[in-house]
Amino acid sequence: MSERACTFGSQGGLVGILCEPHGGSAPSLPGVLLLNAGLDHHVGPNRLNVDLARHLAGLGFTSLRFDLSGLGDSEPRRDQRSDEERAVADVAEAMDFLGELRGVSGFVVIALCSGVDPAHAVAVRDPRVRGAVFLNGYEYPTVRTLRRHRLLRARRVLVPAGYARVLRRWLHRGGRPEVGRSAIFVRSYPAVAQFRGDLTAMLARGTELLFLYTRHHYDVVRIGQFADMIGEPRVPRGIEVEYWPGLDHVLTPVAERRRAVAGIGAWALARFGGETAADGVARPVG
Amino acid sequence: MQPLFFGSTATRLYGVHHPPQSPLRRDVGVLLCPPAVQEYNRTHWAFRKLASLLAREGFHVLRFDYFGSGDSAGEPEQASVERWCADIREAVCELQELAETRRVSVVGFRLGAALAAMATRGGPAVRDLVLWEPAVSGRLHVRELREIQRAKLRLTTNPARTGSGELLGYAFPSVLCAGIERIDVDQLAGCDAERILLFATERRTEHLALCARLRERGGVAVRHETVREDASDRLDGVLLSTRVQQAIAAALAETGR
Repeated sequence: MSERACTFGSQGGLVGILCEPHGGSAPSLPGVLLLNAGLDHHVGPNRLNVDLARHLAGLGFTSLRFDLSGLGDSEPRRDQRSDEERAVADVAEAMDFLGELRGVSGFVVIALCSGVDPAHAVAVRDPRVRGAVFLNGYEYPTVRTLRRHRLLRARRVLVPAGYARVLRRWLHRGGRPEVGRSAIFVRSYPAVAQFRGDLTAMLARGTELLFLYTRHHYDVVRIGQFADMIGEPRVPRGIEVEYWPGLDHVLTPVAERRRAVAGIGAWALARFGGETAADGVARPVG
Repeated sequence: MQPLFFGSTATRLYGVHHPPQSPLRRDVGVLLCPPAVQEYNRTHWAFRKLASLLAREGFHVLRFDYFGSGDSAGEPEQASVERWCADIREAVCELQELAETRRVSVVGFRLGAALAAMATRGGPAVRDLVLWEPAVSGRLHVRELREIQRAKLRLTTNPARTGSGELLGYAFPSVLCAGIERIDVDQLAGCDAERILLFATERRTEHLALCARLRERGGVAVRHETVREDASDRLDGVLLSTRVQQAIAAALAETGR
């Protein structure tokens, strides 16, 4: 595995780390783009993007972990686009860069939390995207969600341990009322009908999708809940959904995070890598 | 701003060089030493801001990631205090080449300040050593981080299980933990620089003790500056405000011609 610091983009202000296997990737393998999670820089929360990039390089994939304009080490753009347009332009320029540098023509985008916004938008719009991994991405309440919410609320009040936790949190705040969520943490999801339409468009193009949800994403606790969410009897072919109850939103526990990274690698190998040779490097089929 | 890797192949370190952004080009480079573990992630933006302020004052600036952290080679399990002090010395050499000068000042925040102080002992000649909210007692620093971890768990419903050998999302090997816990006022007082500047948001006993020890030792100019912040949360207040950073940039600009 080798790594190289790069600057790229039409304004030369985007900064990223190119991570590739020794000897480069097979030309048919997609390049992987790792996006910012919220305001975290390209290393990712708990170094997630570094771990992913290095693991994927071990499996034969070239990746670019980079900062969208105005975040981390990247400069702000000089034009006056909306946040979404700017992020989509940045990701497109990252694809152009990898394409010119290494001849990569297909891409997999990986994003966590609000990083999913540009990843989803690009995956819908750009035919070069062959796959996307959405970590704690969009979720919509379903009947099962509401049932679970009711159950959790009841447990908070009726079970002594739950009651004790509520009391402890109240005491920790010094008896002050809970502060509302700051507007900075509020995101607007696409309407569920729009989301369904986007999935249909991506699947029609043959884009492979992996949705991973961790603990505290009550809207998607069971795989069936994802199918409910998109109004389908079962999860359509081309979409894989996983739920990891051992992980929090930013994948804090080390051992569980490593298992998640390995899981994403296994998905990438299965969907794009064809078969793995004895040296552990993916060799494309055909 | 130029991102780069430097050092030997197996232990390559990631850094970002900020060349001077002023007609006044000073013949001094400034190395920024971040804190470690989870505080590294939280301080990235503050360090980028400080680097820009210093570049605007005409300094060459290098910020970098320690071995086993950020984009640098290695895993957190391989980290140690000795390794990170060696990284600081290596980064000083890199900055000297980038800035084409032997004159270097070093700024460290929290654990980064303690590491910077220890790295200068018998190390490269340092003009100004800026200790920004230095972690004077390693034992207290680890205790604080563990308390933050416990508080996070307390405030989370059904917290995810974390292993005993980890701290706030990172592997925290016993060698590293023991190394940090050994840091104390004696170790920091052995630092070597022409001038030592300590910046903090409030007067703390451990900072006063360190400055007293440095003055006792003699042979070095010591300045202890308190820069009050408005924010109630001490760490985030320090990081989001530019008040301390401007004070640091102004102090370095006083003499760094």
